[in-house]
Amino acid sequence: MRTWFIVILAGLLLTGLQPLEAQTTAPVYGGTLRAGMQTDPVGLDPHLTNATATRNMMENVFDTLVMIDSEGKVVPGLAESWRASPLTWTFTLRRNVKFHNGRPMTADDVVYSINRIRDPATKSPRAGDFAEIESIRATGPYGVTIRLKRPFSPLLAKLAFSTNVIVPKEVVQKDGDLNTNPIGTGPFRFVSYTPQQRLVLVRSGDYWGTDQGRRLPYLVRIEFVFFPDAVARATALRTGAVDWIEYVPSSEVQSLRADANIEVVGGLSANFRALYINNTVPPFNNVKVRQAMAWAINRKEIIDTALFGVGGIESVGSTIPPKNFYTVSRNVYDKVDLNRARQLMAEAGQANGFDAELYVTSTYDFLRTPAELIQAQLGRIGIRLRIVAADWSVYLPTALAKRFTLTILGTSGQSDPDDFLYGSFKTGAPLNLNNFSDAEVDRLLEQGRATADQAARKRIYEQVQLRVQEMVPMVLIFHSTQFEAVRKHVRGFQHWPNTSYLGLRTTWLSR
Amino acid sequence: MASSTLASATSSIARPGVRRRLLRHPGARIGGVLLLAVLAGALLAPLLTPYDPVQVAPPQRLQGPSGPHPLGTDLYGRDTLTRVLYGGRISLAVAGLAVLLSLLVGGVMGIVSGFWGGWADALMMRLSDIMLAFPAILLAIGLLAFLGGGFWNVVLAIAIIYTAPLARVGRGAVISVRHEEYVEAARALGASDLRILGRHVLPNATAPLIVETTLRLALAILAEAALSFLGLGTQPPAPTWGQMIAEGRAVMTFTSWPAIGPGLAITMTVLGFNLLGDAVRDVLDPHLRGT
Repeated sequence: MRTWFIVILAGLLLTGLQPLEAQTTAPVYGGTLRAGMQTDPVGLDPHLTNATATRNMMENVFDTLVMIDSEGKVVPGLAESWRASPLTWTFTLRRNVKFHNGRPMTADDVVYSINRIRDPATKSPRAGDFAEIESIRATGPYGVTIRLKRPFSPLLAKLAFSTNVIVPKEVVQKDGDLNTNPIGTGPFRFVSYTPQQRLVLVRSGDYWGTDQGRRLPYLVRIEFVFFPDAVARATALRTGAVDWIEYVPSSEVQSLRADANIEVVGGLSANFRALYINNTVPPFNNVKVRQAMAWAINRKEIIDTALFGVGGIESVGSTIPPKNFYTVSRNVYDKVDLNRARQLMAEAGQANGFDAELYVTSTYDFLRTPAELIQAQLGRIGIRLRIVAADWSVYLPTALAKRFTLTILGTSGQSDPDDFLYGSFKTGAPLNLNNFSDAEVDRLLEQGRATADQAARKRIYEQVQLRVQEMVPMVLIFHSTQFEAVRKHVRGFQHWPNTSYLGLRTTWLSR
Repeated sequence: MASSTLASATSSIARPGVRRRLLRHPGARIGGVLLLAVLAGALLAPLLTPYDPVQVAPPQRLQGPSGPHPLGTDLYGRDTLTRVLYGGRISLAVAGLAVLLSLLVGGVMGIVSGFWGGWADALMMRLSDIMLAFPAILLAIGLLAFLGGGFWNVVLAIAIIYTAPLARVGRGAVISVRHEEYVEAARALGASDLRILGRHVLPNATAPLIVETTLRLALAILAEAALSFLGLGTQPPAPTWGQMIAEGRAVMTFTSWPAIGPGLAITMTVLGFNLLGDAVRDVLDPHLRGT
């Protein structure tokens, strides 16, 4: 009798322990997240900047019409639903959305915002995203209709890009821009920005978003703290001075993973890195010279050495990441072939080699450390490089103004193949820093934009990527991996594959 | 009386026994040995090491010390000891040229200003006040941001920031000698300004300048290291100690050896110049101790 009693009592006690474990896995509201960032934002107005830093710090203060989720799919944002016909898209907006100044968001705000981006007077770097729009108008307080000049398949991807946000007209008109008072509809309100120190956000009580029925966000406050030095940033995480860092340098990934208090998240991202060539500077204007370079560059050596084996994945021959539906099917330059490279140099009349300058930035390790290796690899085919390194603040304007012969750079796309190809390879496009101009590529890129059928688009973009491989405006080296790292008490943060920190919307602290 | 005045007219450098006392001074011995080692390493680098300081060898990267690589290898597989030795050439050349330039311009300005005085002296003093108001390294960084980096610009920048301090020392040395009895005597005898300057003032005023120059060489090594650490010096892949430390810092969690090599080299060189400078000061004029 007594033994049965004890067994039953023990059983009850054991079952009583379980609910305690279940409780600690449910998100907890509250707390401040201290986030270590690489660099300061460049302005706070998402419509006016190209800087990833601004985008990353402001993308949780604002919302876009549609959003990209952590798997790269387009999901509803401020628009609940939409219908598309070749030339007309209609969006139905959410009804319970408020700006941080209390005013409800309506269709007029969407029309105003997209028009602001399109307007040449705004000088938005993303104006080209909406060049195919003929008109956009509100149909009632919660309906928006967009009419296109031509069919434009990438429209949703452009609307999802996290600087193409919906903004309040009266604030822009009063202040001239959103650089002082960035008011949006996002889960966090802007509080303050102290240059070179920190940028502070607090929870917005009015946010429309939910996570499995729970109101978002969980965090009360986010403090972005700036650590231009990557090693200092990683050290700050190790010591607990910050809770979360972006851009974990390749040299730190292994040791941070081994730290029991830290979790490293991330992997393949949507950036590509290449050796950019100025196609108009002789002798690089000869395609054979550029092809020779493509045969001489040893991608694996660069990744293993400069990036510690973790900082990137060998390029598959495209600016589109691997495993994307539209990624090219093969890479012409499938191995290092120095003989072929030297042959091409000779055919180009450069058998004796020549000197050139490789201009790089000293700020980002993944853009700097490949330089010595590229110098050695191209030296083997007679191209003698001298390296000039400059700080990012000096480097970027110079590179964007195309004042280089060779440089190491790259950009990113979102989900649509047009994102990865049009801006970099269309004649005269803003990110075509190589002065690349090819009539066939231009024609195919326009065709790809106007085609709706996925299979047909895939064929078109395959041709584009193969032609780009043949003409080598840049030597593609690797697809980036990107890592964030958090201390173990930071939960619910998901890595986005396209350099977005929308994962902060569902982040919570377990103590 | 006259004989003692004449005795002090002899240059303190030429005083008998200076060389012997210097060679016996422990500081001079240690400092001298250190500097000789650094200098020999820099000059004889090709004989001391079979490796190319610039050629990459990725399979050998980030190794610790071993037989073939006494100080290990860096991120690109380059031998650290080799780069330290060749880097010494750049660091010593920059420091030497910068301080020489500084001495020729600043030292001369100071001597001229101290000897003749007047409005030229006043002007030079105000100019040097302005220069000395800036923290030296920040001024150098500002100059290099304007001029761009590279070997000759760093030489120029360091020379500029050390001109005022050397001018001050030169001026002070001349002023302290200017009113000595033997100078007045020479003037009374009808000697020209230049003759007084050349035969009586300068020989006795060089001691402080020599000491200061030696100490400035130490500072110049540090300045060059700081500037190339910031990426403002000689451009990669040429080895400079400062840049090697910057690169070593980026991989510090992996291995600290790439940073230890150049750090030791800088320490040895700066210590060497400091010890030697102190010893020279002790030997040439004990009165200077404490300045």
